[in-house]
Amino acid sequence: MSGRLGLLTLAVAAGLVAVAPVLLSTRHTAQLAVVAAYTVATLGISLLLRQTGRSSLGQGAFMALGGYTTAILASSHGVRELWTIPAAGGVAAAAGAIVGLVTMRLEPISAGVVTFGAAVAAPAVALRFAGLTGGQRGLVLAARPFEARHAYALAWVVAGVLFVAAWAFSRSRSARALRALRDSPRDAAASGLGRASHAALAFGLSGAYGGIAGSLLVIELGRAEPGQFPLRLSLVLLAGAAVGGLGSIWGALPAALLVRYADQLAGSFPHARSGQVGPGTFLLGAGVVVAVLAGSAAAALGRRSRRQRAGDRAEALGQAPSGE
Amino acid sequence: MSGAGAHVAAGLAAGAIDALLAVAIVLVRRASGVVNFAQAALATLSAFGCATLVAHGWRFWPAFAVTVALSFGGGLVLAGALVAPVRRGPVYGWTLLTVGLLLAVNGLDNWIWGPRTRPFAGPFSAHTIRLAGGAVSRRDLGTVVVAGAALVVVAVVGRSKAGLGLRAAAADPGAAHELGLGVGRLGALAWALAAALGAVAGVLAATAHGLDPTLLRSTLLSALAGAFLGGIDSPAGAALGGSTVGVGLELLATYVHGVGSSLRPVAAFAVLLAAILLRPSGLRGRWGRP
Repeated sequence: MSGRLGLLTLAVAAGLVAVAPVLLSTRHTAQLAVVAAYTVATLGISLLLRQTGRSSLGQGAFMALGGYTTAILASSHGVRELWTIPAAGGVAAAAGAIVGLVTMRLEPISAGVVTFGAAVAAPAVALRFAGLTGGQRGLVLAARPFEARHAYALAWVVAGVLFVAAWAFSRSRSARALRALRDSPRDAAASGLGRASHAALAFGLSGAYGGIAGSLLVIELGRAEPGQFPLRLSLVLLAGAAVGGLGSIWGALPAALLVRYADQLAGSFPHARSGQVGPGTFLLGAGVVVAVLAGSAAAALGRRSRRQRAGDRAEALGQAPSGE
Repeated sequence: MSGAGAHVAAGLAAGAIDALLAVAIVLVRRASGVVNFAQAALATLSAFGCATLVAHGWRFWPAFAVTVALSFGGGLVLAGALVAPVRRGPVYGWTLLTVGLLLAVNGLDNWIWGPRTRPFAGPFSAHTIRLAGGAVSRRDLGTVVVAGAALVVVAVVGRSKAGLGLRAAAADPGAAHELGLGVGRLGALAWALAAALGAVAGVLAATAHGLDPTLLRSTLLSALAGAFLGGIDSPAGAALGGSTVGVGLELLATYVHGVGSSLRPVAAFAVLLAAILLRPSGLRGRWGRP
């Protein structure tokens, strides 16, 4: 997106977010606060997808890590919620960096499998170590819960800062190096780019976003339970990132809105009962399939038109087009 | 000792279902280079199809045969409609596509049949018979026999000319194409076989545990662990790996204090990690590959 249009979009979105709690009921405000957490989580997935071409099927696991970090620090050690956010990001970043280092040498598909496994295993781990996590009942934050409006403001301020950070990162030298590694790993490694450090960086960053998202979610809901971080959460967030422009960071907010409101959107489908997750999940999944198919069709068209343009240029110069 | 026999039999039954899914994953992975995360969801859809036929008064075995045949056809359609267009794209397109398919199919199950677990009476009763000095349930035994028969059918196809073509197309698609093999059509055959195997796994799992949209969700993880343990490029290795993981997890949950059934996914994840990291091409994978 061009600079001026992007800035305008951002300003409009920020304005809407700022006036929303004045116009909406407490319940809807709370729902929109969840959208902020999802936006942060989706940004993490998008950064990884765009810069490295790896899909994370396990963002829910990083969210669980961050969420439980916040819950444990706040409920057992009396740390203020606000200060647990960086801690949650740090813990998840470290875990992400380890995943990056470990899966770096594997094929991209194996990284997907490992993150999928983490997403399935995370709620079971939370259930198992009940001494730390409270098991099925979970952990309740301090006796004085965050007021809904404060949680809303906190979540959106954090989401805004992290969006700008993601935008800045995607234009940085490191991101360029990551894209070079993604597109031609051998050439990039030959010109001296360190694969290990960059893999750790990309996965660490993505994990940090997940951890902070989980932390925000726990602060908003006032508690952490295993059921908040099911496999489905990881999958629908990835689906949202795919539908919102195949990993474009500009798509993170629409993606989060879609993930949060897919069930409501699909509520008018035939035979859809209220509170039923089926139609919304179907909508998201079908959206991903369409987005991927349209994306590959567009890529194929783009290749052809580039080739045509090259041919046109060559003809204009009075030469035969090289290649085909 | 009879308790141990029953646990081994239960483990073998779970392992047989893992093995079917693991082989399905390996077939698709060899043909298209992609792990189909929707494999378990498609299998669950097949199980719902079979249960619907039975609910409409069909006898079990005809319903089962029709389900497997329809799933085979569905695999062909999927390969044609979805797989061909993204074949040349990047891997993440593939992964996203199968995740989208997983969500779409799972959503469809929930939408049509609802989330509650429904009983699905299979052809085998839960009564035990005495076998090799232990009590074994007929259902576990039947599950192992049916799964084994399905794997034998796939092995026979693998030995046929089409199977040879599949292996050739997997080893070197370019050369196979030059030799006049229809690489795309062979890929579609792999997807169809995988869908049929998944249907068998889905129906068997549903007759053992009852049927709901989350039926095979954690089975997918143990099947992946089995596939990577046995060799992500080797169907025979995957069958072996899948059954090993099934039996191992059952015995672990029974005999190791503090593991229990709730830690099953964690144990499966640990096996998966160990297999991927220590031996990325699996125990039966080709040696000396980067």
